[in-house]
Amino acid sequence: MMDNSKLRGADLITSFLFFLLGVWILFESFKMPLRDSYAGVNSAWYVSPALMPLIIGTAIILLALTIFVHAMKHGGKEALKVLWASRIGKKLLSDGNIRYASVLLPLIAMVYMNLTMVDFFLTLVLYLSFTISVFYIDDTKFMRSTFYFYTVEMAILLVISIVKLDVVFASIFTYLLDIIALLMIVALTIWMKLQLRKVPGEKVNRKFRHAMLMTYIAPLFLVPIFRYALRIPLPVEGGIVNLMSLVYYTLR
Amino acid sequence: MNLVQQFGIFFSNIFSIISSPSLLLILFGSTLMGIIFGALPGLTATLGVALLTTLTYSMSTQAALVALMGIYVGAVYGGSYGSIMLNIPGTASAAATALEGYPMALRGEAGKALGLTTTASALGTIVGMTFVVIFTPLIAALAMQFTSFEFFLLAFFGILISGSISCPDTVQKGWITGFLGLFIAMVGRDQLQVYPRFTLGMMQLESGIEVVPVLIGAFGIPQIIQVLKDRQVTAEPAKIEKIIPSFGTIGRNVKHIVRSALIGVGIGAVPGIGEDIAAWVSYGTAKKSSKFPEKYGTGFEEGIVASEVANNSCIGGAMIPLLSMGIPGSPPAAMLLGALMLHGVAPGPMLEIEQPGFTIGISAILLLASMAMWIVGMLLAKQVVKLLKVPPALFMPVVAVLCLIGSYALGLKVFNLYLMIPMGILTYYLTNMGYPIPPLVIGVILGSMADANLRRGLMVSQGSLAPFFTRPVALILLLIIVFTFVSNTGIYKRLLAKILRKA
Repeated sequence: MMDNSKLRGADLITSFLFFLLGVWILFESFKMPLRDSYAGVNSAWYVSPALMPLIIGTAIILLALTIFVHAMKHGGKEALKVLWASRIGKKLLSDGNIRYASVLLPLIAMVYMNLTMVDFFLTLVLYLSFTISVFYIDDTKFMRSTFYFYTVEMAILLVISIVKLDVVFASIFTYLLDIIALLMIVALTIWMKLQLRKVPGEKVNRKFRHAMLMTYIAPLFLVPIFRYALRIPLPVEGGIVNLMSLVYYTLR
Repeated sequence: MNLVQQFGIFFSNIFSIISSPSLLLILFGSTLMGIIFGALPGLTATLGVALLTTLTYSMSTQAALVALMGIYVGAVYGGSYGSIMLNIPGTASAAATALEGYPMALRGEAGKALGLTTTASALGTIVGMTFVVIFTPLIAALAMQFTSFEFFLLAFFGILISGSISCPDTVQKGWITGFLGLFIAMVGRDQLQVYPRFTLGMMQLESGIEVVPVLIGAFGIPQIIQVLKDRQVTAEPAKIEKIIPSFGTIGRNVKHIVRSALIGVGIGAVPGIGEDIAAWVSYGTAKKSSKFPEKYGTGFEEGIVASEVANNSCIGGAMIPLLSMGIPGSPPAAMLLGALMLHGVAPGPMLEIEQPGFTIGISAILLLASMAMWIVGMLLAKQVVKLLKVPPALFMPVVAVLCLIGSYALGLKVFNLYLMIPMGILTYYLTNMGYPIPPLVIGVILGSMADANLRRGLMVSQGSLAPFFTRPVALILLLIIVFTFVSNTGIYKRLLAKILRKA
């Protein structure tokens, strides 16, 4: 939990956001049928779909106000200044922010972009190769340079997704995007390997090998378990998953 | 069902599990997996149950329950490994154990401490199981008398009490997250008039927000962010020789075991309050009532017994409201509720009517899980301790992948994942700012029950609020809610302080 010098300042912000949420809930609730008829059913206030949201909205507003008042009484203003001061001096690309972004960006890229575009196995490898390597090796410079490289790769995929190039690629060759993703994995691995030379310590190469091993072993277990043992159709079954299916059904 | 019949069902359940090699394998495998999950810092019992839920999807209900109870029991116990060997609790519920376990390990008594936690945890689980057998039918019978008004109040009571107890900061923060959970449950078409609420015009939201992805997002993602964001230092575990079952120590601490088990069951039965609070309350009570309070914190066996018996007996306690009323007693129990619903089991007062013998079946599984935990703990503790050397950076991204596939597999909707990530980021920030997550989860789970029952009740009473005051149980619940609310206000506290000063 945040330390007390900043907590009350953060409370002011969160209570304000909760207040806005409460107001929005009430606003939306009043649009719902309260007394009039809906879909041929005459509504009364006590069976209205707005009843519970009205209670929730009111409760959230009142509780947000009490949190706000409590924060103000307990040095909220000063804490807000401390909170602001701690943020204002911080660079956008500080080590802390890069570390935080290194957790979130791959996760967000995987869920909102790669998962519905690239072969599932490759999606996992792309995510794991970056995340395991940078956090296991845990060197600030290595993390930063790899993060930039990974961001460029994801930006390329984002452009492909936005301008619908994936559809064009699929019409040329079904697995063209998978090949691009595969090339990205290879490029990322080579990049990381090159960057490792700048990382001090004897064990980094061994750590990198472990990270790579984990990167490939985990999907090699997970994909067949979910696809063939639990019979769960994967979001995108591209080149690699189809190859696995070919092997599986041939052997079966 | 008379007592003989109940015993019959109990033993037939035990026999059916131990006579099936596949069920035995699932039992021991999931218990071991639970111990590993509990032992590794960053992984929790709730996350373990959440991730295993997906793998049990294609299993029979009995096999799924064996797996889920095994991992639950194993994970709550497994937390003590990190506490004793590294002074880093594997789970929050084992934090109190670290105070006594680690000094013991430093004295070269790690094996003794692990043996003691293993036996104490097994005993705690068994006592919890006994309470499940005794109290679940009684509370379910009482809940059968409940009407819509009582169920609505019960949902509110659950949120308020969970918010009051689990909040690390002001109680209002606990309550507001409870209401946020209720709001999340309102999204989608309502049950009575099928009116779309808060769907933002999105088709995917019309069927509502699924509980399991929300739970995985709320418990899994913040954990992953936190562990990876904080630089982890992998410590070298303390040396371990022979694991000693410590029956002698257990025999000398019967009084503490009974008291800790009662505390664990009692706290477990309160909606949304987990094993961590049970362990701390029990540890604190044991210290206060001990003849040697000065020995606490120096590697005192009584302290280990108090926290480990309580956190494992809490499992049974958490199962009581879950099975009798459909209200989860702890975060892992909330996950278990989601898993039960996936398997077509609807916990609540009607459970024993729809599926006679279900509660006894769960008790039998709990007993076997505690035995499996004891056996695995005694035989494989040394091997599990070796896993403590594995840095979280190696397995946490894989856990993220498991969360992802888990959320997707339950319904095959990529949209579930789109919700899981913001939910995870939101709960990460809320936790950092002192807003507890258990009330939010309770709100999400009980939201539709509260909504439907309030409106149904008012429909029957034609809009009259009188049943809230004329029905005895409703009135009691209402008074408790009002008291919980008032007792947390400044005016009440000032008034109480004034009265106490005068007295």
